[in-house]
Amino acid sequence: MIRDRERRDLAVMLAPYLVGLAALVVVPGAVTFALSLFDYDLIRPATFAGLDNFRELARDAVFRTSLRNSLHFVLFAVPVRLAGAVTLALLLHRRFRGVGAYRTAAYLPTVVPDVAYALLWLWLFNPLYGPLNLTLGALGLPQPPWFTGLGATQAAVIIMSVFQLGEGFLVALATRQEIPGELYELISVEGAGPWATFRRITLPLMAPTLALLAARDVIFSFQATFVPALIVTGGGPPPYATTYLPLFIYTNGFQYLRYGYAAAATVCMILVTAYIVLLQYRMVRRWRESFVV
Amino acid sequence: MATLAFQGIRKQYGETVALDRLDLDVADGELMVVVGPSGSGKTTALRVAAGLERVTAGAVRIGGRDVTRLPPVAREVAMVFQSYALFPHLSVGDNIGIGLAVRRVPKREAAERVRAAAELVGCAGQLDRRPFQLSGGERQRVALARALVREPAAFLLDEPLSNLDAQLRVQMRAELQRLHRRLGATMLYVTHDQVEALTMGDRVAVLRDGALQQVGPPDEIYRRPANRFVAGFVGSPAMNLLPVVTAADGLRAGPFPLEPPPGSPWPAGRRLELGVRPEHLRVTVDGPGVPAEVQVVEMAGHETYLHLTLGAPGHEAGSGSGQAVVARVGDGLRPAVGSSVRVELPRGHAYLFDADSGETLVQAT
Repeated sequence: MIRDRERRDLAVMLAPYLVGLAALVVVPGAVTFALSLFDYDLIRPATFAGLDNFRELARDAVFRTSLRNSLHFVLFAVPVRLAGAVTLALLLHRRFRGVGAYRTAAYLPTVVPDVAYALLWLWLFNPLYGPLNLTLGALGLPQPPWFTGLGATQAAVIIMSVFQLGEGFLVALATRQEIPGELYELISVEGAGPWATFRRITLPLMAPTLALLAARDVIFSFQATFVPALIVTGGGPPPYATTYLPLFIYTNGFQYLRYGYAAAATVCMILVTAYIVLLQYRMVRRWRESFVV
Repeated sequence: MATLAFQGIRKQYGETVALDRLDLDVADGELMVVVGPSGSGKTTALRVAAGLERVTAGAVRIGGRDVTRLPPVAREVAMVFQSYALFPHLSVGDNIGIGLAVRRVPKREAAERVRAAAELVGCAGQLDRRPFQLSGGERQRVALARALVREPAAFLLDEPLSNLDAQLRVQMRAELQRLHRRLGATMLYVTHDQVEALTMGDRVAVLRDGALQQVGPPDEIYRRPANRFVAGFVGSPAMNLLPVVTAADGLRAGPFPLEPPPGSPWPAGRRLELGVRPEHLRVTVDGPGVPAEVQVVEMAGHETYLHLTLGAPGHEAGSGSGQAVVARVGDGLRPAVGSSVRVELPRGHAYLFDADSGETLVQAT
């Protein structure tokens, strides 16, 4: 009796989540997979295309550029964001006057809406009157052509993403605070300096969480380029310099009305993401097993 | 090994005084136990010796060298924590050898020293295991081996046995003593357990509220306590304390009449308190002494503790009746709760304290 009732309560409590999951993830996911096998433009009825969309993607130079750009972004942004989150966590884990304000400041960019955040950077990066280049110029440093040079534009998108590391910072902070203080006291009595302490204690003990954060950030990073690419750089310049997979998918789907093609690109993006996360998981597992003094 | 000296150490956290003019010398090869209740400053003293706390005033010397301003690494001490502080991601062998690794001792030499230390404490068969696979006692051995492996000038042990169960604690106590004898190591050992202090220490230092109360061999601490606090803290169950009052027929401690010890008159003009250990109260069913009612009977195997109220109902107990005392009796006596017994205060086993300052005035009256 009680078990039945518990089960019913459980079902009631889980229902909103399951409905949301089904409506927002499972059904769209299944539709996307199905759509990738069709040609569909919202006007004419969908026609079965088999793997034609995928074959076309393999030949599409813009898709290959987008994929390469996305991989580059993940390769640079994830380590930088992770390092930033850990560095901030290590700097701000102790209690000192004003630490709350610093922690809030570290988290704040994450809660700014994406579009507002992107518009803000549009101003910051402005080559003529943007405060970034004005400051660099005042210091006598080179002023990168943020929205015209190939590397500079891609760097700008990475720089924009680096400041939105609030969640990673919070998780890293909580993980660092979980490490017992006695371990640090002991290692200092044993004779370790700051670097040895970080390498032998802090990093390995934070590693499981960092691995999780890295996996999460890879997934996030594949998608995070959309707003900056759409609003700040417009996918270039030069042409396609900042066309990442999400923008490619958006353009094909909502501008060229090639829904099947866009769905096939989405499937590719999901598969690439899953492959990288799996690769990462294996690397971290091997790394953890190799911990020796 | 080396000597370890605290010279006029004062440690303050804001307004709170954790250590107040601590002077304590630990001789080369001595096992000094620092004992005291929670908040007495004993762990602070240990951390000051390790260099984990900066002193407000005073000096710490290790091997005659002033190390007060030196960081922990330069003090050449090893520490064993109550929680063992083992690194969960490292094997037992790597845990033991971490001090050697950070000091860049060659790997082959380090491996030999790790094995030797592990053999000394009996954990050589577990070098490849991880801490989470070990029992409490095994973890304690690993923590000890880690302290041993660097051959430090002094060992600092912070309540190393308090996380172990009672049986294992007794066993590890003996093993630690054996280890200490074998190594001839200078050890500063902090505990709140007075039994540990008395059984292990070459000498015992009793701390209270950051102030040193008495230092001496265990026997001296037990038999000649410097004050009422030491007398009450050392010994289990605690010493019975009875207020001393002036009655028509002389002084009385509770219902017990007192006679001054030969050749020393009663200290005049002070409020007094009499202390007597539970084992020194002589309890009989119908012998001499004052009557008492049995409130609680605690069986502790080979001995029994009787919680008594002096002055049993129906008896003329005189002044001081209603005073609660604890008596330790042998196997032969097992009175029922609520029954009446007689309690006698034999000569030569009681202490007289100044009730205000706590100072011991007369040893064994």
